[in-house]
Amino acid sequence: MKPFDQQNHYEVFDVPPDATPFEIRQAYKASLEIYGDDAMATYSFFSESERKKILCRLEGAFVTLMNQKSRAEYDQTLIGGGDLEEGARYKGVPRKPIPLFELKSSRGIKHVTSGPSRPQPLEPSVMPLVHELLAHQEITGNDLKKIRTELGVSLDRIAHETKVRTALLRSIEEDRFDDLPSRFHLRSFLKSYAQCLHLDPQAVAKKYMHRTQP
Amino acid sequence: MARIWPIGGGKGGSGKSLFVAGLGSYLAKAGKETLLVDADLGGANLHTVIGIPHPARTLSAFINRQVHTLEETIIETGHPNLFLIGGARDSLEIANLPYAQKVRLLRAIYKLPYEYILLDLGAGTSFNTLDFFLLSNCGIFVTTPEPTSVENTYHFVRSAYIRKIKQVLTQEQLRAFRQHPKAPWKRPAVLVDMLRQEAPEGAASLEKALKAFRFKLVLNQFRQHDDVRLGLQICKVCEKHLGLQMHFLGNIRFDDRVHYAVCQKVSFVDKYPYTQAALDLRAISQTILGMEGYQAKTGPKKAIASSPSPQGTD
Repeated sequence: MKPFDQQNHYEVFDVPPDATPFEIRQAYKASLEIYGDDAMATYSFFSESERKKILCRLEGAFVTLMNQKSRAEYDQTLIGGGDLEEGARYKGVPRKPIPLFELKSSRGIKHVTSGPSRPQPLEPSVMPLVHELLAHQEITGNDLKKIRTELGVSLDRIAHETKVRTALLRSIEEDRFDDLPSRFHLRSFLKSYAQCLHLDPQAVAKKYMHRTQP
Repeated sequence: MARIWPIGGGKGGSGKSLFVAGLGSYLAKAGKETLLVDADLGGANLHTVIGIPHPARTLSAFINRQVHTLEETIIETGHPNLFLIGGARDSLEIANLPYAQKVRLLRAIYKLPYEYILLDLGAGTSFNTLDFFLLSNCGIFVTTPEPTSVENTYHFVRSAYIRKIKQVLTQEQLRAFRQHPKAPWKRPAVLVDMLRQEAPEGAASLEKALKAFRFKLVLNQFRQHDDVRLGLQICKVCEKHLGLQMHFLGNIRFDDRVHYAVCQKVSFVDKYPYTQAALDLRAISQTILGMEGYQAKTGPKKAIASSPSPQGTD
């Protein structure tokens, strides 16, 4: 690793060169917790003047990177110095979220700093079977089961997450309408089931309920 | 070949001996032949922590040449796979070990046929402690989330670092740096940088030696409202500003029952195996067991032969 004095703004903050302003702000906050006045992590490590110098350096880097214009200029000097490639710089748009079901194969997972994961719409290229089944007017219990198996989620896992009994979930998947609870409860269970698989809860519930119409 | 894990950390009372005892028990329970060495010369008490009030033979027997080999001082602890070399208690001058004796002891430790050798070091940054610590690249720092302890740990890290630099550099290079007007002595990063310009081959060997370090950090006596990020932050600072790789092993929860176990002179992890502190220790032992890929040793002869005289000026 380069000595601290020679690191560029991105290396100082430990962020990739295409980090979003949000990520840079988070990194700046994290650095302040390390080098700040009351920080225990660097207690006695630096002399007071050294620490002040580092704080100035951090602030300078932060101000430069938060301003779109100055950041572009700074990137340009880095590119000029050969420290940054044109393709790797920030282009004003955040990196695309990683398709949910490719998380395992993704290389960029380390830098994902967004909050709790929200269900993203499935991309057709990822799971053709799932999309085909979801495109139908109606969804049967068997369809749900197929989708669930395709995504590799066990029934117990869903039961654990949704707090709905496994037996009941199985009844849903096997279309045993007599064993199912009232329509009100069924809809809510279907929604949780769909949410668990990151499917659209409204659509799934509606398409399934469609067949149980009295 | 044994993996040697020196456990140090600068401040007294941070739980080094208890950590050694706990870690040793778990390694032994995992079926690894483990030897605990009480290398706290002049302040030995590891035997008490694992429940052996009076070890029959200790390090001093080896140092005073009452026995011929270090193996003869090893005693059984009553736990399967776990062995101990007790620290010297009967000699009051042993804390100031002469240089030749120290080299003899370090070499003997190297040759011991155990899978894991844990060295319990004393507080402070005396040359003896540092040399024991630098016996291997996998030293573990034990610290607590308190400013005093963090301060001592940084002092220890820097001292070990400087000690290593001294081992690698030649006498002339050392003298030149000591008299340098910019006084790079206190700032290792600057030192390596200057060395790179003035003596590239020296810098290369120094960088290699520093890169070989795989230091570990443990935060002990972690209380409920302490900042969980502290350990990682300390590692990050060491890596960023000293260029030292440091790996955070985890927090160990504070537990009053540790005190009771010590008072009863029994092993804490056996007496209270399901406390959070014991579980944390077990998790750390599993991490260490998982680190099979590490090269635990440097060449013993070279490292020791090139170490400077302990009487040398500093």
